[in-house]
Amino acid sequence: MSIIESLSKQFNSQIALKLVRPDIQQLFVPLYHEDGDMVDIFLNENPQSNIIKVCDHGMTLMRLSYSYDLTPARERVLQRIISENGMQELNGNLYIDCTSENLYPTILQFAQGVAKVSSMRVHTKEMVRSMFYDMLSENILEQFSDFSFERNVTPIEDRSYLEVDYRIDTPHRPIFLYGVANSDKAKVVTISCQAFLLSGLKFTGWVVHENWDDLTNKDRTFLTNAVSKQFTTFQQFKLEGRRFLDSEAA
Amino acid sequence: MYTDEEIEHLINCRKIIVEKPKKEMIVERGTERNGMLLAAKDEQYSFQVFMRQLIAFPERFSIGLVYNPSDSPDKLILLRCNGAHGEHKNKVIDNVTIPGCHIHRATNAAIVEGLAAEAHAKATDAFFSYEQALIYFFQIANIEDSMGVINPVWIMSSLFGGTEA
Repeated sequence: MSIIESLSKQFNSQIALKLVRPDIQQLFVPLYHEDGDMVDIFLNENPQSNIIKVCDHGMTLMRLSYSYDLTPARERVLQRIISENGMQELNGNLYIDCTSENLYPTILQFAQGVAKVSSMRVHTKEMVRSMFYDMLSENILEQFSDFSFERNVTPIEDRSYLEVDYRIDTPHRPIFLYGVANSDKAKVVTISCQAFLLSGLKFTGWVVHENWDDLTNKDRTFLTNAVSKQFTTFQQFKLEGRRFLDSEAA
Repeated sequence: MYTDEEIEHLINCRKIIVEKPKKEMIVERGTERNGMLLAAKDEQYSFQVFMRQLIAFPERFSIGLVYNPSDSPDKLILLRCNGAHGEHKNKVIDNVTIPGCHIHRATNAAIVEGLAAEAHAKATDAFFSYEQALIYFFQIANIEDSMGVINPVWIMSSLFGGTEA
Protein backbone atom coordinates (compact mmCIF):
# COMPACT_ATOMS: atom_id res chain seq x y z
CA MET A 1 0.00 0.00 0.00
CA SER A 2 1.44 3.40 -0.94
CA ILE A 3 1.61 6.30 1.51
CA ILE A 4 -1.31 8.06 -0.14
CA GLU A 5 -3.43 4.91 -0.08
CA SER A 6 -2.56 4.41 3.56
CA LEU A 7 -3.44 8.02 4.45
CA SER A 8 -6.73 7.84 2.57
CA LYS A 9 -7.68 4.68 4.37
CA GLN A 10 -6.71 6.04 7.79
CA PHE A 11 -8.50 9.35 7.36
CA ASN A 12 -11.58 7.62 6.01
CA SER A 13 -11.86 5.37 8.97
CA GLN A 14 -11.56 8.28 11.39
CA ILE A 15 -14.01 10.64 9.79
CA ALA A 16 -17.73 10.62 10.42
CA LEU A 17 -20.65 12.92 9.76
CA LYS A 18 -23.63 13.22 12.05
CA LEU A 19 -26.80 15.10 11.21
CA VAL A 20 -27.46 17.37 14.21
CA ARG A 21 -30.14 19.57 12.67
CA PRO A 22 -31.81 19.73 9.23
CA ASP A 23 -29.08 20.93 6.86
CA ILE A 24 -26.42 20.92 9.59
CA GLN A 25 -23.96 18.10 9.93
CA GLN A 26 -21.24 17.81 12.54
CA LEU A 27 -17.91 16.51 11.36
CA PHE A 28 -16.23 14.04 13.68
CA VAL A 29 -12.47 14.07 13.11
CA PRO A 30 -9.66 13.13 15.49
CA LEU A 31 -8.79 16.74 16.27
CA TYR A 32 -8.93 17.70 19.93
CA HIS A 33 -8.39 20.79 22.06
CA GLU A 34 -5.84 20.68 24.88
CA ASP A 35 -8.61 19.78 27.32
CA GLY A 36 -9.52 16.70 25.30
CA ASP A 37 -12.76 18.04 23.81
CA MET A 38 -13.11 17.42 20.10
CA VAL A 39 -12.78 20.43 17.81
CA ASP A 40 -16.28 21.50 16.79
CA ILE A 41 -16.73 21.59 13.03
CA PHE A 42 -20.10 21.82 11.37
CA LEU A 43 -20.99 21.74 7.70
CA ASN A 44 -23.99 23.83 6.71
CA GLU A 45 -25.14 23.10 3.19
CA ASN A 46 -27.08 25.71 1.27
CA PRO A 47 -29.52 23.82 -0.97
CA GLN A 48 -29.87 26.80 -3.32
CA SER A 49 -26.19 27.22 -4.00
CA ASN A 50 -23.07 25.15 -4.19
CA ILE A 51 -21.73 26.78 -1.02
CA ILE A 52 -20.87 24.80 2.11
CA LYS A 53 -20.27 26.79 5.27
CA VAL A 54 -17.60 25.19 7.44
CA CYS A 55 -18.31 26.68 10.86
CA ASP A 56 -18.47 26.23 14.62
CA HIS A 57 -21.77 27.90 15.53
CA GLY A 58 -20.06 29.88 18.29
CA MET A 59 -18.44 26.96 20.13
CA THR A 60 -14.86 28.24 19.88
CA LEU A 61 -15.59 31.65 21.36
CA MET A 62 -17.84 30.09 23.99
CA ARG A 63 -14.96 27.85 25.10
CA LEU A 64 -12.53 30.77 25.05
CA SER A 65 -14.85 32.74 27.34
CA TYR A 66 -14.68 30.19 30.17
CA SER A 67 -11.80 31.96 31.88
CA TYR A 68 -10.56 34.49 29.37
CA ASP A 69 -12.02 37.96 28.96
CA LEU A 70 -11.76 39.65 25.60
CA THR A 71 -10.38 43.08 26.41
CA PRO A 72 -10.18 45.55 23.50
CA ALA A 73 -6.51 44.62 22.99
CA ARG A 74 -7.30 40.91 22.97
CA GLU A 75 -10.23 41.51 20.63
CA ARG A 76 -7.80 43.08 18.16
CA VAL A 77 -5.58 40.01 18.40
CA LEU A 78 -8.61 37.75 17.91
CA GLN A 79 -9.69 39.60 14.79
CA ARG A 80 -6.16 39.38 13.44
CA ILE A 81 -6.07 35.63 14.00
CA ILE A 82 -9.46 35.22 12.33
CA SER A 83 -8.41 37.29 9.34
CA GLU A 84 -4.96 35.72 8.97
CA ASN A 85 -6.52 32.27 8.87
CA GLY A 86 -9.02 33.13 6.17
CA MET A 87 -12.00 32.89 8.52
CA GLN A 88 -14.89 35.23 9.14
CA GLU A 89 -17.05 35.77 12.17
CA LEU A 90 -20.75 36.50 12.37
CA ASN A 91 -22.29 36.81 15.82
CA GLY A 92 -19.72 34.49 17.33
CA ASN A 93 -19.91 31.92 14.55
CA LEU A 94 -16.47 31.39 12.99
CA TYR A 95 -16.77 30.18 9.42
CA ILE A 96 -15.25 29.69 5.99
CA ASP A 97 -17.42 29.34 2.91
CA CYS A 98 -16.29 26.84 0.29
CA THR A 99 -17.51 24.50 -2.40
CA SER A 100 -17.49 20.74 -2.28
CA GLU A 101 -14.44 20.74 -4.56
CA ASN A 102 -12.24 22.39 -1.94
CA LEU A 103 -13.96 21.10 1.19
CA TYR A 104 -11.00 19.05 2.48
CA PRO A 105 -8.37 21.84 2.50
CA THR A 106 -10.98 24.23 3.89
CA ILE A 107 -11.63 21.90 6.81
CA LEU A 108 -7.92 21.71 7.57
CA GLN A 109 -7.61 25.48 7.32
CA PHE A 110 -10.61 25.97 9.57
CA ALA A 111 -9.33 23.51 12.17
CA GLN A 112 -6.01 25.30 12.25
CA GLY A 113 -7.70 28.67 12.72
CA VAL A 114 -9.92 27.34 15.51
CA ALA A 115 -6.87 25.90 17.26
CA LYS A 116 -5.13 29.28 17.15
CA VAL A 117 -8.16 31.10 18.51
CA SER A 118 -8.56 28.48 21.24
CA SER A 119 -4.97 28.86 22.36
CA MET A 120 -5.11 32.65 22.49
CA ARG A 121 -5.02 32.54 26.26
CA VAL A 122 -1.59 30.93 26.22
CA HIS A 123 0.10 32.18 23.11
CA THR A 124 -0.96 35.75 22.63
CA LYS A 125 0.20 37.26 25.89
CA GLU A 126 3.36 38.48 24.20
CA MET A 127 1.43 39.67 21.13
CA VAL A 128 -0.98 41.66 23.24
CA ARG A 129 1.81 43.05 25.42
CA SER A 130 3.78 44.20 22.39
CA MET A 131 0.69 45.79 20.86
CA PHE A 132 -0.10 47.56 24.16
CA TYR A 133 3.28 49.30 24.38
CA ASP A 134 3.12 50.28 20.70
CA MET A 135 -0.38 51.67 21.11
CA LEU A 136 0.62 53.55 24.26
CA SER A 137 3.52 55.12 22.41
CA GLU A 138 1.30 56.18 19.51
CA ASN A 139 -1.28 57.61 21.88
CA ILE A 140 1.22 59.64 23.86
CA LEU A 141 2.63 61.10 20.66
CA GLU A 142 -0.89 61.98 19.61
CA GLN A 143 -2.33 63.23 22.92
CA PHE A 144 0.65 65.06 24.33
CA SER A 145 2.30 66.41 21.18
CA ASP A 146 2.23 69.97 22.59
CA PHE A 147 4.19 68.94 25.68
CA SER A 148 7.89 68.27 25.89
CA PHE A 149 8.56 64.62 26.65
CA GLU A 150 11.38 62.15 26.43
CA ARG A 151 11.49 58.34 26.29
CA ASN A 152 13.59 55.92 28.30
CA VAL A 153 14.97 58.46 30.71
CA THR A 154 17.37 57.59 33.55
CA PRO A 155 16.82 60.32 36.17
CA ILE A 156 19.66 59.22 38.47
CA GLU A 157 22.96 59.44 36.63
CA ASP A 158 24.86 56.64 38.31
CA ARG A 159 21.85 54.30 38.44
CA SER A 160 21.10 53.80 34.79
CA TYR A 161 19.12 50.64 35.52
CA LEU A 162 16.35 52.81 36.99
CA GLU A 163 14.53 53.89 33.88
CA VAL A 164 11.38 55.84 33.15
CA ASP A 165 9.29 54.98 30.07
CA TYR A 166 8.27 58.61 29.43
CA ARG A 167 9.21 61.82 31.21
CA ILE A 168 6.63 64.50 30.45
CA ASP A 169 7.66 68.03 31.41
CA THR A 170 5.14 70.33 33.06
CA PRO A 171 5.61 73.79 34.62
CA HIS A 172 5.65 72.21 38.07
CA ARG A 173 7.19 68.76 38.37
CA PRO A 174 7.77 66.19 35.65
CA ILE A 175 5.45 63.25 35.16
CA PHE A 176 7.18 59.90 35.09
CA LEU A 177 4.81 57.73 33.05
CA TYR A 178 5.03 53.97 32.76
CA GLY A 179 3.10 51.37 30.78
CA VAL A 180 2.48 48.21 32.82
CA ALA A 181 1.31 45.00 31.12
CA ASN A 182 2.35 42.36 33.64
CA SER A 183 3.51 41.69 37.17
CA ASP A 184 7.21 41.85 36.32
CA LYS A 185 6.89 45.37 34.95
CA ALA A 186 4.75 46.37 37.95
CA LYS A 187 7.55 45.30 40.30
CA VAL A 188 10.19 47.18 38.29
CA VAL A 189 8.08 50.35 38.33
CA THR A 190 7.52 50.05 42.09
CA ILE A 191 11.22 49.64 42.78
CA SER A 192 12.17 52.51 40.47
CA CYS A 193 9.65 54.99 41.84
CA GLN A 194 10.51 54.16 45.43
CA ALA A 195 14.21 54.63 44.63
CA PHE A 196 13.44 58.02 43.03
CA LEU A 197 11.48 59.07 46.11
CA LEU A 198 14.24 58.00 48.47
CA SER A 199 16.79 59.95 46.47
CA GLY A 200 14.68 63.09 46.84
CA LEU A 201 13.59 63.46 43.22
CA LYS A 202 10.49 65.59 42.68
CA PHE A 203 8.13 63.94 40.22
CA THR A 204 4.59 62.66 39.74
CA GLY A 205 4.36 58.95 39.01
CA TRP A 206 1.75 57.75 36.52
CA VAL A 207 1.00 54.21 35.42
CA VAL A 208 -1.10 53.10 32.45
CA HIS A 209 -2.20 49.48 32.85
CA GLU A 210 -2.88 47.15 29.97
CA ASN A 211 -5.23 45.31 32.30
CA TRP A 212 -5.30 46.05 36.03
CA ASP A 213 -7.03 42.72 36.70
CA ASP A 214 -4.03 40.76 35.44
CA LEU A 215 -1.90 41.88 38.38
CA THR A 216 -1.82 40.15 41.74
CA ASN A 217 -3.22 41.95 44.77
CA LYS A 218 0.28 42.42 46.13
CA ASP A 219 1.56 44.04 42.96
CA ARG A 220 -1.41 46.38 42.88
CA THR A 221 -0.89 47.36 46.52
CA PHE A 222 2.82 48.07 46.15
CA LEU A 223 2.28 50.04 42.96
CA THR A 224 -0.51 52.10 44.52
CA ASN A 225 1.85 53.10 47.33
CA ALA A 226 4.59 54.08 44.90
CA VAL A 227 2.84 56.21 42.26
CA SER A 228 0.31 59.03 42.29
CA LYS A 229 -2.00 58.16 39.44
CA GLN A 230 -3.01 54.90 37.76
CA PHE A 231 -5.15 54.37 34.69
CA THR A 232 -6.54 50.87 35.14
CA THR A 233 -7.00 50.32 31.41
CA PHE A 234 -5.48 51.75 28.26
CA GLN A 235 -8.97 52.79 27.21
CA GLN A 236 -9.29 54.93 30.32
CA PHE A 237 -5.96 56.59 29.61
CA LYS A 238 -7.05 57.42 26.06
CA LEU A 239 -10.22 59.03 27.39
CA GLU A 240 -8.90 60.76 30.51
CA GLY A 241 -5.13 61.12 30.08
CA ARG A 242 -5.15 64.54 28.51
CA ARG A 243 -7.55 65.96 31.08
CA PHE A 244 -5.30 64.81 33.94
CA LEU A 245 -2.21 66.16 32.24
CA ASP A 246 -3.85 69.57 31.76
CA SER A 247 -4.77 69.53 35.44
CA GLU A 248 -1.18 68.75 36.42
CA ALA A 249 0.15 71.49 34.17
CA ALA A 250 -2.30 74.15 35.35
CA MET B 1 1.89 22.84 40.76
CA TYR B 2 -1.30 21.59 42.45
CA THR B 3 -1.48 18.13 43.96
CA ASP B 4 -4.60 16.02 43.62
CA GLU B 5 -5.25 16.54 47.34
CA GLU B 6 -5.14 20.33 46.96
CA ILE B 7 -7.42 20.18 43.94
CA GLU B 8 -9.95 17.98 45.74
CA HIS B 9 -9.84 20.27 48.75
CA LEU B 10 -10.58 23.30 46.58
CA ILE B 11 -13.48 21.53 44.88
CA ASN B 12 -14.96 20.10 48.08
CA CYS B 13 -14.56 23.01 50.50
CA ARG B 14 -17.80 24.69 51.48
CA LYS B 15 -18.52 27.78 49.45
CA ILE B 16 -20.83 30.74 49.71
CA ILE B 17 -22.05 32.99 46.94
CA VAL B 18 -20.43 36.41 47.08
CA GLU B 19 -21.91 37.74 43.86
CA LYS B 20 -25.02 36.08 42.45
CA PRO B 21 -25.53 35.46 38.77
CA LYS B 22 -27.72 37.90 36.87
CA LYS B 23 -31.42 37.06 36.77
CA GLU B 24 -31.27 36.54 33.02
CA MET B 25 -28.50 35.02 30.94
CA ILE B 26 -26.70 37.55 28.76
CA VAL B 27 -26.59 36.84 25.05
CA GLU B 28 -23.19 37.46 23.54
CA ARG B 29 -21.78 36.17 20.29
CA GLY B 30 -24.06 33.19 19.94
CA THR B 31 -23.83 32.15 23.58
CA GLU B 32 -25.95 32.70 26.65
CA ARG B 33 -23.64 33.65 29.46
CA ASN B 34 -23.77 34.15 33.19
CA GLY B 35 -21.49 33.75 36.16
CA MET B 36 -21.07 34.18 39.88
CA LEU B 37 -18.36 34.76 42.42
CA LEU B 38 -17.82 32.43 45.36
CA ALA B 39 -15.71 32.39 48.46
CA ALA B 40 -14.74 29.46 50.65
CA LYS B 41 -16.84 29.61 53.77
CA ASP B 42 -14.08 28.93 56.29
CA GLU B 43 -10.92 29.66 54.32
CA GLN B 44 -9.38 32.41 52.20
CA TYR B 45 -10.16 31.03 48.75
CA SER B 46 -11.85 32.88 45.96
CA PHE B 47 -13.64 31.28 43.03
CA GLN B 48 -15.66 32.22 40.01
CA VAL B 49 -18.24 30.18 38.18
CA PHE B 50 -18.94 30.46 34.48
CA MET B 51 -22.24 29.36 33.00
CA ARG B 52 -22.48 29.03 29.23
CA GLN B 53 -25.06 27.65 26.83
CA LEU B 54 -24.83 27.71 23.06
CA ILE B 55 -27.85 29.34 21.46
CA ALA B 56 -27.70 27.26 18.26
CA PHE B 57 -27.54 23.98 20.21
CA PRO B 58 -28.80 24.32 23.82
CA GLU B 59 -27.63 20.80 24.63
CA ARG B 60 -24.10 22.18 24.38
CA PHE B 61 -23.40 23.90 27.66
CA SER B 62 -20.67 24.20 30.23
CA ILE B 63 -20.75 25.16 33.89
CA GLY B 64 -17.36 25.50 35.47
CA LEU B 65 -15.62 26.27 38.75
CA VAL B 66 -12.49 28.42 38.49
CA TYR B 67 -10.05 29.00 41.32
CA ASN B 68 -8.53 32.50 41.61
CA PRO B 69 -5.34 32.24 43.67
CA SER B 70 -4.48 35.39 45.57
CA ASP B 71 -0.77 35.17 44.76
CA SER B 72 -0.93 34.52 41.01
CA PRO B 73 -2.90 35.84 38.04
CA ASP B 74 -3.10 32.27 36.64
CA LYS B 75 -6.56 30.86 37.19
CA LEU B 76 -7.27 27.15 37.51
CA ILE B 77 -10.34 25.48 36.07
CA LEU B 78 -11.14 22.89 38.72
CA LEU B 79 -14.38 21.43 37.41
CA ARG B 80 -16.55 21.64 34.31
CA CYS B 81 -19.93 20.05 33.78
CA ASN B 82 -20.33 19.69 30.02
CA GLY B 83 -23.26 18.84 27.85
CA ALA B 84 -22.91 16.51 24.90
CA HIS B 85 -21.01 18.39 22.22
CA GLY B 86 -19.41 15.76 20.01
CA GLU B 87 -16.96 13.74 21.96
CA HIS B 88 -14.21 14.04 24.50
CA LYS B 89 -11.03 11.95 24.55
CA ASN B 90 -8.83 11.64 27.60
CA LYS B 91 -5.11 12.06 27.00
CA VAL B 92 -4.03 11.41 30.56
CA ILE B 93 -4.75 8.75 33.23
CA ASP B 94 -6.71 6.77 30.65
CA ASN B 95 -7.59 7.18 26.94
CA VAL B 96 -11.33 6.78 27.24
CA THR B 97 -13.52 8.45 24.60
CA ILE B 98 -16.77 9.93 25.91
CA PRO B 99 -19.62 10.72 23.51
CA GLY B 100 -22.16 12.35 25.81
CA CYS B 101 -22.37 14.54 28.90
CA HIS B 102 -19.22 14.53 30.93
CA ILE B 103 -17.47 16.18 33.85
CA HIS B 104 -13.97 17.59 33.50
CA ARG B 105 -11.92 17.62 36.68
CA ALA B 106 -8.46 19.10 37.24
CA THR B 107 -5.75 16.55 38.00
CA ASN B 108 -2.10 16.78 38.91
CA ALA B 109 -1.35 14.32 36.10
CA ALA B 110 -2.76 16.70 33.46
CA ILE B 111 -0.86 19.66 34.89
CA VAL B 112 2.40 17.68 34.94
CA GLU B 113 1.83 16.64 31.30
CA GLY B 114 1.41 20.27 30.30
CA LEU B 115 -2.21 19.75 29.27
CA ALA B 116 -5.17 21.82 30.37
CA ALA B 117 -5.56 21.14 34.08
CA GLU B 118 -9.08 19.83 33.51
CA ALA B 119 -8.10 17.60 30.57
CA HIS B 120 -9.38 14.44 32.26
CA ALA B 121 -13.13 13.81 32.20
CA LYS B 122 -15.61 11.14 33.16
CA ALA B 123 -18.94 10.31 31.56
CA THR B 124 -22.00 11.11 33.62
CA ASP B 125 -25.71 10.44 33.64
CA ALA B 126 -26.28 12.88 36.51
CA PHE B 127 -27.53 15.50 34.08
CA PHE B 128 -28.71 15.85 30.51
CA SER B 129 -29.71 19.52 30.43
CA TYR B 130 -28.23 22.83 31.51
CA GLU B 131 -30.69 23.12 34.41
CA GLN B 132 -29.92 19.62 35.67
CA ALA B 133 -26.19 20.31 35.36
CA LEU B 134 -26.51 23.47 37.43
CA ILE B 135 -28.28 21.59 40.23
CA TYR B 136 -25.60 18.90 40.16
CA PHE B 137 -22.83 21.48 40.01
CA PHE B 138 -24.04 23.12 43.21
CA GLN B 139 -23.84 19.75 44.92
CA ILE B 140 -20.41 18.63 43.78
CA ALA B 141 -18.85 22.07 44.23
CA ASN B 142 -20.41 22.26 47.70
CA ILE B 143 -22.04 25.65 47.17
CA GLU B 144 -24.45 26.74 49.84
CA ASP B 145 -27.64 28.63 49.36
CA SER B 146 -28.89 27.87 45.89
CA MET B 147 -32.06 29.91 46.51
CA GLY B 148 -32.43 32.58 43.88
CA VAL B 149 -30.08 30.77 41.55
CA ILE B 150 -31.74 27.40 41.04
CA ASN B 151 -35.38 27.40 40.08
CA PRO B 152 -37.29 24.94 42.32
CA VAL B 153 -39.19 23.74 39.24
CA TRP B 154 -35.90 22.46 37.83
CA ILE B 155 -35.33 20.36 40.95
CA MET B 156 -38.83 18.86 40.70
CA SER B 157 -38.38 17.84 37.10
CA SER B 158 -34.72 16.89 37.19
CA LEU B 159 -33.36 13.41 36.76
CA PHE B 160 -31.07 13.98 39.71
CA GLY B 161 -29.83 10.77 41.18
CA GLY B 162 -27.50 9.61 38.40
CA THR B 163 -23.85 8.99 38.99
CA GLU B 164 -20.50 9.64 37.37
CA ALA B 165 -19.28 6.62 35.46
